[in-house]
Amino acid sequence: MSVRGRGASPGGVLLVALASVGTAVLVLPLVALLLATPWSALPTLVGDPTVLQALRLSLLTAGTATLVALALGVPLAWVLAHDDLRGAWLLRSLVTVPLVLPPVVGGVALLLLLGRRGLVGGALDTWFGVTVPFTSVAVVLAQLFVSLPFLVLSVEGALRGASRRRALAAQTLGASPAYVLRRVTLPSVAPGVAAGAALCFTRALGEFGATVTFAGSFPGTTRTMPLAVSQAMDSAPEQAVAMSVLLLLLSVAVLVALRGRWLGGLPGAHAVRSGRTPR
Amino acid sequence: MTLDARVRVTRAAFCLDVAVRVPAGTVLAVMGPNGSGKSTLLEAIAGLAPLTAGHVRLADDVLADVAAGRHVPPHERRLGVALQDGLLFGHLTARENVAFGPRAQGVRATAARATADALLADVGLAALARTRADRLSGGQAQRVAVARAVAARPRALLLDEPFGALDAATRAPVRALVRRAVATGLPALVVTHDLRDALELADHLLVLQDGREVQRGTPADVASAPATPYVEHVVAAASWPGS
Repeated sequence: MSVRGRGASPGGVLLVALASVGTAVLVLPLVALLLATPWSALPTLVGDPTVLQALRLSLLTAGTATLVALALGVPLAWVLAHDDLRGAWLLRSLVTVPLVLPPVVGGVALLLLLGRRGLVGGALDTWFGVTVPFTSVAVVLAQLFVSLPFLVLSVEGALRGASRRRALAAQTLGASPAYVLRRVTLPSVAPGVAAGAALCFTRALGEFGATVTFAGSFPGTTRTMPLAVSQAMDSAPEQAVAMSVLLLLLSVAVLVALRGRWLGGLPGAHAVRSGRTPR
Repeated sequence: MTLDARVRVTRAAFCLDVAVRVPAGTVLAVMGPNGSGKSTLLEAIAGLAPLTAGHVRLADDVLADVAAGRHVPPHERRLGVALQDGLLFGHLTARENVAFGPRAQGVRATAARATADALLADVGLAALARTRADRLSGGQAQRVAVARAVAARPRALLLDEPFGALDAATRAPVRALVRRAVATGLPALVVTHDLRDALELADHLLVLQDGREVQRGTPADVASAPATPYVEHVVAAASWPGS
């Protein structure tokens, strides 16, 4: 890595220095984590039943939250991407709020909605005998609340990029709206949907504040990996480090998978990946 | 099959109001400065820009008639359209882009691809048939867009700046392809910035300015008696050898 032609000026030096500090702020904590990791003991630590239990719960809840987010978020993004909707700006603002809201506030809000004496929770309890808080369902709802905006905004961007004019061009060639959706719009937004789903999944996987407030931290039902890490920091720090590394690896794996998807849409990537060169 | 249209399209401060008649087997070139309404005219005929008044007819088929409340949707008009900037489907290969029209209309994939390959060969792109459209250069994409319009089994051709990104060598086969398609009895409307395209290809030339017709005639007539400074300018631009 080198910044050519800029190193000479004082402004350039300052720029590079600040960029380096910025990089360090992001990278050094992870370096410390990796250095502190007891690599040889890692399999034993990760193989611990309590860790596996938390991991299984995390993958299950985050996976469910992502599927639900896809089912609800893609239609929501579709509505937002069409400017003809009056009040789209208001809807978009509402969708963005959980993105900037402290997750713990989301947890409190969910509790006030679905808690035993909550706005809807009271009725659920009285009429159906259903209690949501402090269950695995609450974990999924907490994750959904914080991660759905990532999916919606990502898919909305993809839908806008797909360009209405390209769909119109397809229509002029004799393609019915349904055919355009199937062969033009959906394939061109697929990378955006995949990216949104991956972001949504990683955000759900890392959810802490809303979960601990709304679902508590009960082993097996609501104690997901982040909650287990926090718990273990007091009692078994080595295990906390091992679980943290596991979460880091999971997140990086998603990022790598995502990058593969993005590359698929870039010029040159097709030939590189399929081993062919254009003639 | 004659294309007959009188269109008025109103958009904010802009109003296009023009009539065209393109007999079967002839080419009408449309020229005009930026913002004169050339693309809007083409989009109005294609059914992409809603008319505020007027009609579009192809032979006896009424594609749009505001007075009668008729508007045939774009995908049922059976026109071969190449919009400005090509608008290829980036996730498909060049071949699948050209085969898109016939396949959308129910032609079997193998037959549609054979048609596509033949048309790609016509415009000199046989070697790039399996290349993804988002990897093509501007000139290559433009040639694919024209081949795609011709492949769509059209009853008329509407081409918006089909030669803009092409140099002299690549322009010739694309013009030839358009000429062959027209010779089968199609009316064609070609928007262009270059008078030489009109002189080479068109039977008639319509010059627009601010949404209105300012001159009309054979390309040679228009070139020899420019009615506006804009026409004088394009005549001068076309007379520079090699420009």
